[in-house]
Amino acid sequence: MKATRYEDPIAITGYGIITSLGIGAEANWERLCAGSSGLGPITRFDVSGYPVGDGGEAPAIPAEEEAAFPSLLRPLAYLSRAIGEALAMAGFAGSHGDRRTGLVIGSSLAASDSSERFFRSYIEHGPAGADYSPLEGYFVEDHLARLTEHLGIRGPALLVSNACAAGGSSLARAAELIRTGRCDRVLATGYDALSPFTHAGFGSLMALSRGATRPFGRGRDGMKLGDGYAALHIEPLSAARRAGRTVRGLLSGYGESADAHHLTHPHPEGLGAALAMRRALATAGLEPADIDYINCHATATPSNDAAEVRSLRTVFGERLSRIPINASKPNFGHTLGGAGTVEAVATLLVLVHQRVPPTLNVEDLDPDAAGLDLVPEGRPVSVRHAMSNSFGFGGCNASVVLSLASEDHGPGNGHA
Amino acid sequence: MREPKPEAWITGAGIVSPWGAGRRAFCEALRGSNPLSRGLLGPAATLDAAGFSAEEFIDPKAVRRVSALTRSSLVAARMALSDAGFPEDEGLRRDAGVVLGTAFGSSNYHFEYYEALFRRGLKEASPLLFSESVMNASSGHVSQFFKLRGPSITIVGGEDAGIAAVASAVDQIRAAGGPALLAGGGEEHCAMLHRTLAAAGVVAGPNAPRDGGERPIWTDGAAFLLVEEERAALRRGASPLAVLRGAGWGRAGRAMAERGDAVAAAVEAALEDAAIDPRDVEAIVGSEGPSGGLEEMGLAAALGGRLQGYLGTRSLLGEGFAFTSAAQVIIAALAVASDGALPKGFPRSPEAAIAVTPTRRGGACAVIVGRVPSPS
Repeated sequence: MKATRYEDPIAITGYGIITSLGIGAEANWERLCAGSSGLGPITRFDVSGYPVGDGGEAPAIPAEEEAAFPSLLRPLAYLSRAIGEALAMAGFAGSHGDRRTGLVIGSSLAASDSSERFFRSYIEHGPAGADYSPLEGYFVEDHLARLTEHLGIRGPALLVSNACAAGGSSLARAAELIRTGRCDRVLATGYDALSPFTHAGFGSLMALSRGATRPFGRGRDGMKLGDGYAALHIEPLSAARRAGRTVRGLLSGYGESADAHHLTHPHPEGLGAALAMRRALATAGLEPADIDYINCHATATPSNDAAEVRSLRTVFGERLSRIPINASKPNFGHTLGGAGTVEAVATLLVLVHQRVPPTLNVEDLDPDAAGLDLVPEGRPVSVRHAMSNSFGFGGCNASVVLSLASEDHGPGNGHA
Repeated sequence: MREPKPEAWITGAGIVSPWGAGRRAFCEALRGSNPLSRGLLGPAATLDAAGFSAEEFIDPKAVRRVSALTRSSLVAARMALSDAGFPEDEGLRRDAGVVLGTAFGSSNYHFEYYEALFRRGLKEASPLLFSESVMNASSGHVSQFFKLRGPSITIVGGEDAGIAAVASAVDQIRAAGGPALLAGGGEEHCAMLHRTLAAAGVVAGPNAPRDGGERPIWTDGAAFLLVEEERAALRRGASPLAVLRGAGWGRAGRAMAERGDAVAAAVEAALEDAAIDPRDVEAIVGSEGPSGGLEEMGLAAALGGRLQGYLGTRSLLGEGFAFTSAAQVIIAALAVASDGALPKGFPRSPEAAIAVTPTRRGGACAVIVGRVPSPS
């Protein structure tokens, strides 16, 4: 595959995150390193009588901050809070009212969570008496408009809905807006909220775990779902350096693919996943041997993890056992369309801190996963290039490569 | 940071509309000469009302349990690939992808799933309805059916989602050099959404006059273009219909949207991207009628008041969101290629044509389609 390293890399100059572990990058990093899990009993909707009642609910936004999001639905208020953290880190606190700033959102649900309010009315009052107005919230365009108005963004704004790979695809679209010269700065974001729609849906597919989420584990039985909101502020490295902004890392590569196999089952050999990883390496101009850390998709379903291990072995060969790997879903659950950006931020934190947090619940690995270094105890590492993988329904796959901003790339990499 | 731009060529087009499947039926509808023109279909010109059957074009097993959007998307994709002469070659298909725009996705399955969930409880969730109602189910089916292992992307937006998908394909080809992408848009008619959109004044209601009265009729269908990187297309000996010369997005706050600022921004960005002068745009495929409206104001601002060669699709075809906005790009491509019978008065063989759609909440997207340069 042809390597296509770009002369002016894409700098990440800010990031923000909210998960069930907490609000903000610092809170999430502390709890990741402490081996904490934000999963617990779901309180947001009624799960009584349902076999799986746990999920990851994000803490409430502090009351003193809520006033900043007056016209936004709850999920968008959370996303906006994560965006605000990224902008503040990048040193942008004011308006973004120019045509050269873009916004890309990755989301699996898109706006469909607003359907809940409509259906409660529809079932109570019947088709003739139902209040159809909540369905206006079903229009993604309305959400894009509210968010861009709130942020004052006048450049390209689009929403990518590639199921659980949406966050990774959001980073890819954002990178394209920079690489084509269309934007000077882009907010690459991803989110999905824990909802009855997805909780019941994944349950119907027997993908929700009745016990602990055990990535790559023997007898694993699936995942828990969780809230996830994340944002990365990206811009050309040269521009970041000229402006004196701290470079937190580089978005060096991205790759996407389709399994072209089945709507909900992965290709058994991980063909599509391997293609996405190789394409990400190619756009980064890197070889598999350059990758020092991997954040896996690892949903802990039998077929997904098996396919992912095969794809990793295909791409990284025998060296795979020497690459530290995290599976973050036992910490904050599967954040679906948010996963690609949430886990990209988790990956970036590894680069920034040069430390790999522990992966939870990996005491008894499946024989297929033998030899993987899943880092059951966190440890310091030396990481220059890291990969984050996201795979979703529709057979869509997205991989991103994040890199340390070396000294010749800018004023610093933001090491704590 | 700007890299040399690989050209994005349109090498094929496929469209499934209530007026029939394929370019010819579509062009006849544009000229008002199709026997299934909208007045005969009622205030919602839908594939169902027109008796569309995907099984006539696709292996019935492949479309047995999929949504209406997936069915029309599969047929339109097949037509676009066939029109482009895109081979079955495994290597080419491994790198080829899909970018589907939609405003509402497989909404009938989505609502059916939700209704069961709320009536009967979480335990009664249907795995089939759940997986088929996710927003990217249709693009996933297209990738799977045609063994396309490049990116499989779903862009969700407003009325401009079909154009946005094409614009995103242009960027993907330029930024990453992907060789081929099926890009377009599709929608399926949904009674609940129809009622909601009618109440919001977006489309004519189910009981409106047959011509929709003052509001556009709802229409559904799917439209795809095969967009190929120029060198990749040349290598396989493809004949392009047209060149996608530029694309642009615009976004305005509510007050500015009412002045057409989003349209102006999208068109100006597309002109800059295409590196052409506004005077070189000889045809406009817009979404509204030529009189009044924010689209006209925005176009006038961006093109210096020149609005000749305007075709508004909403009054001809109705409102089909991503479907009709993708269809606008097909019309622009057919115009510059002098391929197909377009309405009287619309320019023949313009050097460049622009397709643009504003959204009702302050967004807009535009692409500029140009004639294929003669070999020198």
